[in-house]
Amino acid sequence: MRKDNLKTGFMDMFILETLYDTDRYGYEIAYVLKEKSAGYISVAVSALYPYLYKMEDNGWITSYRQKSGFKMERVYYHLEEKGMLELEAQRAEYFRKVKAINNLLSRNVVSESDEKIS
Amino acid sequence: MKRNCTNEYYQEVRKLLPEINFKEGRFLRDIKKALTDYEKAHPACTYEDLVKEFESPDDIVYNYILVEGKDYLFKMLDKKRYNKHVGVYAITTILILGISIMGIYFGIPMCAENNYSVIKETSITTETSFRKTTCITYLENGDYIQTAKGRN
Repeated sequence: MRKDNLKTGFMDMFILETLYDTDRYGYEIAYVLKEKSAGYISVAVSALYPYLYKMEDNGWITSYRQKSGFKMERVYYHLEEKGMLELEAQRAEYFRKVKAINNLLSRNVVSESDEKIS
Repeated sequence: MKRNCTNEYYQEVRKLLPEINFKEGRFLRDIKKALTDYEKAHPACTYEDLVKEFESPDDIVYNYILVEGKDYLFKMLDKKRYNKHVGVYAITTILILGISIMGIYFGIPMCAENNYSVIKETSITTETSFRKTTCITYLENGDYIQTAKGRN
């Protein structure tokens, strides 16, 4: 699977997951995604905005401004109840997909292990 | 110089967006703010640094359209098609009007001048059961044109 496909398919879930513990601002979300995925999921903050707007429109998250230093203002995002439900639904769907894909690809796994045995 | 680089980057993103409404305006404002913050943290940044940090402007706009979904894309395409048709109709109407006006102001007198010249014009009014006016126009080449106007 190309990285781009992975991003577009699961980005909502990734962002909601980063907001599960605490409220975060754009750069922080991008940083956490990179750190937690050991650099595999690297997203520019500019690419996050459209997802965040969509999630706000859907009522999954809300935003608020907070001052952080001289003339600096950050927009923090907060996960709402509706967003938590959505996250759980997306997580369940993701694990179903993973199980289905694993079943689909199991032939290759068997043949690889067979090769090792032989 | 570095100011131009963030400005150039921002202008490119702005130019690539298919339309700028409230939502796109918010997106552009956020991009501008992120660019300004980055510039403050990295005063010697170049255009390449911005591409590395924020992705290229076309990637940003592509991602924006992708997230907005197919409805947004079809709406944009419809709008473009509609604008194209409006443009074609407007140009055709202007051309037709232009030709008509030119025909009225230049075409008819030119035709009259080139074909014949009037040397004498006579009007004969006959009072019978109805009023009838016959207009005879004598031409230079010896011919004449007779036109009759009247009502019962």
